[in-house]
Amino acid sequence: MALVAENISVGYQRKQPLLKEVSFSLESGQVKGLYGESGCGKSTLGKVLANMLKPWSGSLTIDGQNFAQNIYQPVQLIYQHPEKALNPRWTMERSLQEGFIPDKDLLSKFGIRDEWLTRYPAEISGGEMQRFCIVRALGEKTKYLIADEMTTMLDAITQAKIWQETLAICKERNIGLLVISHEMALLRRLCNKIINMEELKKCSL
Amino acid sequence: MFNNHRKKLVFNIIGTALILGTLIVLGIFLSDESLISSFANKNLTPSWQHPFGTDWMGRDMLVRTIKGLRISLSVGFIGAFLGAGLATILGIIAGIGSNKVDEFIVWLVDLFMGLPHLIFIILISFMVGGGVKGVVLGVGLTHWPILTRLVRNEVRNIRHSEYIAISRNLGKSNFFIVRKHLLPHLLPQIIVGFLLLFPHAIIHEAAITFLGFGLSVQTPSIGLILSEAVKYISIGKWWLAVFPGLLLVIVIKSFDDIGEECRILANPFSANE
Amino acid sequence: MNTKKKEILHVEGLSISFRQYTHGWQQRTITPIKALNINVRAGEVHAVIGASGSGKSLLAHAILGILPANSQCNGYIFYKGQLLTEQRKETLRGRKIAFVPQSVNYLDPLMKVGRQISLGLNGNKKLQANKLLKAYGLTKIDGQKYPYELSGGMLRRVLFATSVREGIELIIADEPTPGIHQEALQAVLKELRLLADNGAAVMMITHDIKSALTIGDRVTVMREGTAIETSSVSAFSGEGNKLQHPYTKMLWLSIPENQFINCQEDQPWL
Repeated sequence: MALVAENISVGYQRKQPLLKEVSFSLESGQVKGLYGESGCGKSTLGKVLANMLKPWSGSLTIDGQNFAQNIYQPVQLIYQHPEKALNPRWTMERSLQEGFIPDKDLLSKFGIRDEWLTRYPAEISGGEMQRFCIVRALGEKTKYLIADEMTTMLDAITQAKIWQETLAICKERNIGLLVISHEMALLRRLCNKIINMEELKKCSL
Repeated sequence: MFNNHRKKLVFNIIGTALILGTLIVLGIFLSDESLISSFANKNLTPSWQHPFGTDWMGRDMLVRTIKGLRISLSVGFIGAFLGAGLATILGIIAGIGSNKVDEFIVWLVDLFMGLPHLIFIILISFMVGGGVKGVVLGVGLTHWPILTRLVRNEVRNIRHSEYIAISRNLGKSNFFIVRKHLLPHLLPQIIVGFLLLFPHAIIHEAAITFLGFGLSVQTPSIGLILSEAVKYISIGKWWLAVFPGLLLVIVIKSFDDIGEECRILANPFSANE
Repeated sequence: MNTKKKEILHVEGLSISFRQYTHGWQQRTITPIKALNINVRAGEVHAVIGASGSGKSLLAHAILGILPANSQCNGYIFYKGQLLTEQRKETLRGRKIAFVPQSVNYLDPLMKVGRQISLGLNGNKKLQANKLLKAYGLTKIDGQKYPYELSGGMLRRVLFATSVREGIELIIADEPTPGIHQEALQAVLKELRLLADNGAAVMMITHDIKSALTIGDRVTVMREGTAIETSSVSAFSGEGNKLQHPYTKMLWLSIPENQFINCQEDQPWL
């Protein structure tokens, strides 16, 4: 069971591919790391893997199948900046329940307090927002989770606690987790396998 | 209480709205008695009995003006509604459509922006035979460009937001995204655009009716009252034009003020001052 | 090690509150900074560490006098022993106090980089601008380019060149580290260290503990708007036993290089 991307070519400017025929796979239950400096294309690859950016060429299959439309997708992406991933006009509760209604157990695992539910994004901190984003992405149908610099903007304590809970849930549900980061120390603590973006790009040539 | 700027603005808006509302209600409920021709009373100058004087048929000008105002406002409302509605639809289509669609609509906006309003309103009104239909279509079809561009820009801005992408990834349809994410974001702008369009619509209606291309005698809007009054100014019956004109100007300024205040409130940058 | 370095900046009991509109016309007052005490000495790099939302950037804005209109400031800020009034902030800003902002968006996208560096310089602007470019490892040709033509690392160096020049006594660097290559990061840190070694007082605001410890002399940890501990960099070692506050100790132990998740076992969410 795996999320497989083959020969992906994509870029942001015409005729200037950021990624050229790159292949990547993520297996269920695996914790894989993607290391690279900013601008190398790791976030771009993450978006392609989450089926949120259509590549110029190449294919993306999940467990051998294509992606369906208008359903809670089996691959979920967590962005680096949670304030951008939340509608500023919606209450936290509304955003949280946009895909499914998380049970109390999950909310308490991530320390989400009841009083935050009626607040708006502008009224809570970055760490708190990110926890909402993560819970929102952990629906029953989630098979793969892509964390794009998920804790880069957070302090060390919040970072450690978030990863503790995220790893536990992914293990429990056999979710394939891709950690994208520029911090090697973090990747070494979290991942079974780390791929270097530069080498990935070279391999495809 | 007056440290709270927002509170002040809201009170202003409510105050002005109440005054306008009263005028409109009066327009509906004032009896038509004073409008029966009474040749004994014709052409009276303003007095306590007839604060705005009477016209050549003995009709009380105050009542006539207030009723006329109601008609002007109704016609203006429908025209502005048409314009704003068209702008919203076109703006959203341009915003979420393909690049070609967007380019086409932007080209249309630029094209229509350059056209002189009055001439085209007259043309359109003339083509459909004048009257209320003519005025409404004329105003609606010439006032959509600016708001369209605004709506299109807003939609383009948030179209690529992360939270919209996530919404789709969580299974939401385009319809849901437009209705629950896009529209609430656009609504303040659209309402402000509509409110600012309203005075334009009223003035244009008055103008083309005055010139003879708009409403007819059956629908005595202020524009019509003014156009009829013109004949009598030279013989000194100034109150027939001055009072209705003045009231029109005051009403339009009020709408404009409300619109501006709403705009300040809706803008997140100025909203917190 | 000169322990008797002169204090350039002294902040005492600083509180900053904002009046904001919540729903409809309800107003509320939020106080992101409460009773903050901190000082920065000449020749030192003083890192201010805290989570996003702990108010770190506001501290910088308060010192520079660029807080928004709906804010209220209490407490005292002293510069070289004298009270820093709004008027004094205006004269010192740019001349004695330099601000290196977090985002490269502070640069004018429509102006050539060299020209932006020369803004505000006295005397022969072009000559001085070129000197500054050279000092930061950039060439005259780079000076002729627009911001979008330069890489992130080069832009960071341009940010330095635009604000840090001769005569600067206090440098406030707001989050200078995120989003750039290792090389550029090392260059930025080296630059800040050099500036301190040449006598300037450097205040580095960051949430990146590792970078702070690389070049810092002292570290102040901020939490929920107040400084909970100020200690020397050497205390951040081993199990962090030399650190006084439990939060600081936990912060140190939580970084991936140390215990990371292992110290979080039964910890509640903070």
